[in-house]
Amino acid sequence: MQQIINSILRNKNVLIFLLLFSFGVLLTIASDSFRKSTASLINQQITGAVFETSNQIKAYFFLQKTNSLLLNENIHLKNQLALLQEKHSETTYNPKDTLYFYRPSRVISNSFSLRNNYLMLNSGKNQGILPEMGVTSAKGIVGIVSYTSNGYATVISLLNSKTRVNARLLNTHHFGSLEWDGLDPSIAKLVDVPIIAPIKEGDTIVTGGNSYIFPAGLPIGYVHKIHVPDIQNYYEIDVKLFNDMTNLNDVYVIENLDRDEVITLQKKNLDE
Amino acid sequence: MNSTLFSIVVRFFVLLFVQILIFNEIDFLGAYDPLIAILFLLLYPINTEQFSFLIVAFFFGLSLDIFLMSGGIHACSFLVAAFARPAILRFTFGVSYDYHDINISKSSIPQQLTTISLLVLCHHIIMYSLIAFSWNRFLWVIERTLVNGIFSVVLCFMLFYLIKKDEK
Repeated sequence: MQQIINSILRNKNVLIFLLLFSFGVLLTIASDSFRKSTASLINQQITGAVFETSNQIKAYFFLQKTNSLLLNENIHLKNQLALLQEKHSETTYNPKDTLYFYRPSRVISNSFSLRNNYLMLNSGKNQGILPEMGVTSAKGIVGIVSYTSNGYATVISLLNSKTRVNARLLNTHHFGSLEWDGLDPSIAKLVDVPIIAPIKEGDTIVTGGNSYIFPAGLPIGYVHKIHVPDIQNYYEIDVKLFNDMTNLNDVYVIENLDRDEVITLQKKNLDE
Repeated sequence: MNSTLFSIVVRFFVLLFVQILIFNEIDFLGAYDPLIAILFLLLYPINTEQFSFLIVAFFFGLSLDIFLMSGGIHACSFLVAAFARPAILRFTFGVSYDYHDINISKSSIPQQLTTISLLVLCHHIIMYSLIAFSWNRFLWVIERTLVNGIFSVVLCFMLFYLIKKDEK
């Protein structure tokens, strides 16, 4: 017994090293389940407060850029509104008919150099943000809300191995699934597009709308490179994202107002 | 609280926040962020017990992880770098390390550079391997380690000189 204790004491450095190292690797692998825990929500409040302060200072340096971005978006939206009003001038157009509700938010922390990247937003449950809502910027989609605390929300970035977004080609309406291979933060991969789809470099990719998270037609990126597979009947397409994922600031969180209805319907289908 | 412990605590928080709020925002070429927090391991008193040093290094890395939302990647890589520190110091300073009579800030520039480079190398190899988590991306790990490593070493060395002057 004495000998065992002695040998433990002699090798305590190696033992504590191995113990802590395995704990660290476990945290890396199971980081997602760790994020769900209560401890993580308290963390979110603390780190959120730190990043919020630093973001308030940083935002001053980008005021001009943000202004021009918002101005451009405003022009785009006004044009669309004019088109809509023209279309609906005879029929009655009720804005309450919309299915989606947009809330403004701001990215206060952003990672993009890891395999599984996350963002943090400065609004949470108190502002009506809930898990599984889509997040988009003026240029294109950003990610999906995963966990929320009272004042902050964690978002699974597009640059994450777990992200799958339903997407389609703007011109031909062929659907595919958008994922990320972990290499370049400006390029995502569109897979499962059938080989019969006519496609060329520069084609625009938008969201498909086959889920309750993103409405159809939100911009994502354009076709950068097309890989024609040897055996399979599906393309693998490199998509250059419209968004610079390394530099995100003002975003919108999208709520699907019919979400609960869609989910109950899906559940019913599964139960049968 | 004695002055050594006090300066460790101050360094812990200052380096942590400087890394998170300033150096992680650099995004050189969209992907490279210099790691200056490794100075914490370099400046940690040499004649302390390795056991407590390992634990402190782990929690320093874990604090970085919590802010950078990176699981346990920094915790592991800081732990490995801390574990390798005695070997690195023995390699750079030879026998004098065993007699505890070395002072990194008074040593020669090649000695300082070697120590910083080896610490950064240990840290980066582990960090990028854990990020990649696959053998297929071996070349990616090497490339990232080298480019970001050089970037980190240069900035660490410059900062180290700034801190050293203040101490005089």
